[in-house]
Order: sequence, then structure tokens, then C-alpha cells
Amino acid sequence: MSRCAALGLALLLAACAAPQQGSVVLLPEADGHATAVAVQQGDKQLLLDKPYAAAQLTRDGPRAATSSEQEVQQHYGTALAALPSPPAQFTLYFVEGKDEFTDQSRQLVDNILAEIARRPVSDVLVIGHTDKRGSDAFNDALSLQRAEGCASC
Amino acid sequence: MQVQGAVVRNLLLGLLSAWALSAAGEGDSIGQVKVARGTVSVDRNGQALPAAVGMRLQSADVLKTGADGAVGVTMRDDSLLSAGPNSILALQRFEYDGATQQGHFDARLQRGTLAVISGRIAKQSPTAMTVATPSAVLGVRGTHFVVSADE
Repeated sequence: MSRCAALGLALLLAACAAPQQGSVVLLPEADGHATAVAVQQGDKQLLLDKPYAAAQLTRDGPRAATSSEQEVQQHYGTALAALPSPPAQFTLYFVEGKDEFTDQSRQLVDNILAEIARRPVSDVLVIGHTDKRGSDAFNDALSLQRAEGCASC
Repeated sequence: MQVQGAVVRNLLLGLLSAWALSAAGEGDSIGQVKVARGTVSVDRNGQALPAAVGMRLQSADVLKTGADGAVGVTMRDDSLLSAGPNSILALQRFEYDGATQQGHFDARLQRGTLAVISGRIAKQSPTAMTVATPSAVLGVRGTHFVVSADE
């Protein structure tokens, strides 16, 4: 009897430890947006499209599973803690035909500088735009002037 | 103001492509190390460089973390990737046009754990970004997921 139970347990352990080659877990989005990851192993595919939908990677292809916040923290906590802050994006408006900020946009500049200072390593990308009125040459020069003005804030 | 490598682009709204191509170089940097904890190195052209916060990354760089290591990077399309301890992450191919927001990104987790929040490249088509492990290929439709590769 006890031997039978021991055998059962051994089989169960063997099943759990079946050569797993890794796993994939889809995580929830901050904004509840629908997302998905398609897991392909050879000619077998599994689509993960719900929070905590998981795939165990095995020699026989991806096996569907469900994970949890706790399990993800346990296995991936260190990796997740190293994710950089998402980039912040700001749009500044200019007075038509000039490289001066509108009054409202000028007030935003301090917020942008504070955001830059808050980050341990900041990387700033400035893109200058214009509207479509006027010649290309004029707009081209103006968009560059606007971008350079921002970069020297 | 501390700005590392401010990039000024001259883009004319509506007529983006020609300028964008000429501005796309950006010193060939495809991303930047934002977080480095414990032992982290970058294999580049056969050399192992110690990875530090602020380091710029190139296509084909391979990030390696030790038993005490973790690393977080931001790619030029705003994809965020971070690897946990004992991981090997290859940034095999990264091409991105900032103006059209089109490109390709193929990463490979050879070993360890990886967290991903995909960026603009993955938004354009389900085949534009992949993350491979030795046994699987993930087609990234977006956005937040984790993957592990056991040895």
C-alpha cells in the first residue's frame, strides 16, 4: 500500500519535472489594453491573449497553463524589478511661423526639466515639426530652429 | 540640465521619409543600459565589456548577467527589456526608422529570465518583433510579458 503511494508520488514528480525548456507568461497591461504573444515551437503554436495565460515550453510543443502574480514574482521578480521607467513624451506648441513657445507650452518646460532630473540616466530626443503652410524650405528651417531651441532649454 | 546625447532631428510634418533616413544614424546606437545591478557584461565583437548605466548598445550586442546580476535596457523604439540573474540576452537585430516608426527587432534569450514591454516596432505588425529562446520563437503583438529559458 505505502509502496503503491510512493510509486504514485514518484510518477507525479516525474510528470512535474518533465523536461521543461522554459516558460512564457503574458502579463496584464496597466491600462487594460488587449495584447498577445504567439508562442511557436516547431509547427505548434499557442496564442497567449489573457493576463497570466502561460505557455510551458516542452519538447512536445507549448503547453497551455495559467500563472499568477505570485508565481511571476517568484520566478521573474529580479528581472521585473530591473525594467527601466517607460519613456515620457511631451508635446510643445509654438506660435505660428515662429520658434517661440505658446504661453501654455512655456509652462510645461519646467515639468519636462523636472522629469529629466528625476531619471538616473536621461536620453532626450527632440523632434521639430511645422504645419504645412508656407514653403518647404521655410518650414524645414523653422522645424530645425524649433528643435534646436528646445534642446538648449 | 543634464542631457546625454540630445538628438536634434529636423522633420517636416507630412514629408517625413527623406529626412528621416538621413537622420536615422544616431551613432548606430540602438538602445541604452538604464539599470545595471551586480555583474553585467556586454559581448561586442568578441570582447566582453563591463556594462554600466548609460552605456549605448549596438545591434548584435549580447548582454550577460552573473548570479547576482540584472540589467534593464530601453531600445530606440521605446521597447523595455530586463534580464534577471544568470541570463544571456542577444540583441540580434534591431532596425528602426524613428520617423515612420517602422522596423524589425529580433532578440534571443539564450538562458535565464527576461521581462519585456514592447515598443513601437511591435505595434506595426505581428511579425516585426520576435523574442527567441533555444526552443521557441515568440511573436510579440504586445506588450508586457515574461519568458524564461532553462538549460
